Amino acid sequence: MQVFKVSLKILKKNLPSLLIYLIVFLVLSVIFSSVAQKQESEYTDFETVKTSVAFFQDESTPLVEAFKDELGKSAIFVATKDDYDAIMDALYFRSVSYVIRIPEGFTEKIMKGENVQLEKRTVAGSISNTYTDLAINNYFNTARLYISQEPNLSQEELASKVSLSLGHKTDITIEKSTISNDAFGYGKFFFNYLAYSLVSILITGTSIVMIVWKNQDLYRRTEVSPLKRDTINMGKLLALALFTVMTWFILVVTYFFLSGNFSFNIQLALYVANSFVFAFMALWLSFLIGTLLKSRNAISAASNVLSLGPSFISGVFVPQELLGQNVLSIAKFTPTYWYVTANNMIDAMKETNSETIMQIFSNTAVVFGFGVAFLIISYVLGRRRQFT
Amino acid sequence: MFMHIFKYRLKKLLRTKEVIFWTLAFPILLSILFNLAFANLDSSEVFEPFSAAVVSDENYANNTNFKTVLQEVSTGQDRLINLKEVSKTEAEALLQAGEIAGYMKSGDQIKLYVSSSGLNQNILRLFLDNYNQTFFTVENILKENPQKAQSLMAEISEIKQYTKEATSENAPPNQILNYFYSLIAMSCLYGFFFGSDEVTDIQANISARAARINVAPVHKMKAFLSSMAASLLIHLMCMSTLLLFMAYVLKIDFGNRVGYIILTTFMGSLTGLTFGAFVSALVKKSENLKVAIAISVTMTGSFLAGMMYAQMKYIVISKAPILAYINPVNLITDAFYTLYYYADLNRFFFNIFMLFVMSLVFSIGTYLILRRRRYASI
Repeated sequence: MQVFKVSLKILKKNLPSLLIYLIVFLVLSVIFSSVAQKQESEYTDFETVKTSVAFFQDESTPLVEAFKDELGKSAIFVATKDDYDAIMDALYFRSVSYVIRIPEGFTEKIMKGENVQLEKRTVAGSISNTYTDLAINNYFNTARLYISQEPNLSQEELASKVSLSLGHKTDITIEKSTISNDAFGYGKFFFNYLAYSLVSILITGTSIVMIVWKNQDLYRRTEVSPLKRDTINMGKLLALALFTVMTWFILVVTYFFLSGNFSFNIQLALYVANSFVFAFMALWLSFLIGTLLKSRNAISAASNVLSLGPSFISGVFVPQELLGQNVLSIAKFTPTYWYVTANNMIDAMKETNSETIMQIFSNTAVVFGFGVAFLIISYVLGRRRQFT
Repeated sequence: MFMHIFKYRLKKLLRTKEVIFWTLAFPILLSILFNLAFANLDSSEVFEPFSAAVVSDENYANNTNFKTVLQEVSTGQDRLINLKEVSKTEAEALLQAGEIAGYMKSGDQIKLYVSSSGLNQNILRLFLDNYNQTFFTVENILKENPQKAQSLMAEISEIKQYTKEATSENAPPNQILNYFYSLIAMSCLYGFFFGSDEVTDIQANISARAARINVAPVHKMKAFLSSMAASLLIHLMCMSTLLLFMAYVLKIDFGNRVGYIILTTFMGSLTGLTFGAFVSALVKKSENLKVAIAISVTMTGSFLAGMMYAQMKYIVISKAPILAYINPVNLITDAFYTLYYYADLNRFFFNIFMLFVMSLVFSIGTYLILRRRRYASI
């Protein structure tokens, strides 16, 4: 009990630093999940597959306006400052993937049937480049057909004829829809990001406590006490478990407030359960590090490597689909991979049948397994260290 | 005396392994991870011809026009699709197995069958739209001018390109590089730990080493500057190793203005160092709090500069530009980014100027806090 109390006191004394970490990671998680979710939703629905285009026009004629309307069906116009640097920045960071400019006199040349080309800036060789090109060429090739046969058409007539033609859509049958009802998309990103914040905060908090107990005088004092070593360790672990649960609770509650959804829902329950298991895995990992390492600096080093490293290769920051196969096979040696996989499964889950839930639980079980392994190793190594 | 302190400080620093880890081993480790994680990111947006099928039934056999057009888009170097001619059941099976993006079936009109809605399916849709629409257009024209059939056919067969890539003096927009630039920026700011230690070791009431230095008949400013110089040297050496590792082992493209790259690294290191010194002078005793500030500032800064998510940097600069100008990690990242991406150097010098101002503010702040401290008794 004494050990437990002292451990809690140490945590309380270091509350300012711990709060800084907590707040920073909370804010980062919120920004990250809201931004990442917006990014992904642009690519899901069939009707709305649109590329982001920056559209600049130096002339405003009926034909150009009609063209812009038509292009709007396969592109989202992103307002961008008409400034070289701003455009190039937008292209680099993929805020737009296609930049097009209608020069002055363009309409006139089209109406005369002259050969004319629009200047574009793209990410060379990208899919969105091919896609937008198809849409633009469609429009003007159709216009050309009309003009070549009826050279005296006015701009308005031409525009209405072209839009009549282009209104003629292909029948598309979607045989099996894979679009999930994405009302909950935010959750995946938030809980995935938790893998980074939890490990980071827990290793730091744990190390603060463990380091104090390593002070030689203090160590000797506890050694001569009639307490069993296991009791001492249990005291530390209990205090840290309390800390873990509190940290986890604050993070999860933040999510509830953000989503504004307090009603029970199976997906949500699974996310919460999964993250709870992960939190304890993180605690036991921290405990192992705290047992092994001696200096504070070494521990913060380990904290950063172990929180950022697995997050990068397991799909916390970069979606798993974009990671190479060999990277993922390395990631399988980290608990973060299994945690993220479970979250992704929960997100993709369409109906609640026992089979999918078993699959999710088996991933969570692997995370738990890692945790137990860390705990056992720290127990064994901790013993050995004391005897030598 | 300057050389004496400098030399011993150097020896001391080389023996503190944690600091070397932070500024050297940790970034190198991360850069290897980045290299693994982002290897596929840019290639995921590259267009590659995808597989699609057409149902080869009677309708298809009779539709020679459609056959020719499909032939055109499925052969050659810049083809859109890899075409498979199969039966209806086979096409369905292929679609279910995810081996084709979709299949087409001719009839009165060409129809498209897909199972999901990616970009490839949309390209297929646009292609078919185009085909169906051209037919519709031709019918439309012939309805009014039946005599034009001949000339129309000539026009159809000639498909024109209405866009061309504008010439640009910029390097290709390789988004992945930003991750590495922000990583370098982060390690520049890890100079924090050096700066922080320097201040700890000059205040006699905080560390024993400082007490020893303070009893020596050396001006405090002189002692401080010479040991800071030693820290800067070590940090710059770590940074150079990191840069060389990235440039030659990971083959990261930095552009070719070597002089400016060195200048950026130097200014970045200096900012990190002076920042650490300033915070350390301000916070005084709590070592935990210092580390907490160091880690949270560098992590928040790196996050906003796009280290975990490259678009973040763009979002910050377009939504809250001030945040971009006061974030040292972003300034350093942006300096590398402009050196790589732009031919023009104005923006680069603005970044360097801002870094200079920051270092100056931190230095003056540190000076004002540290000066004229006497320790009558400790």
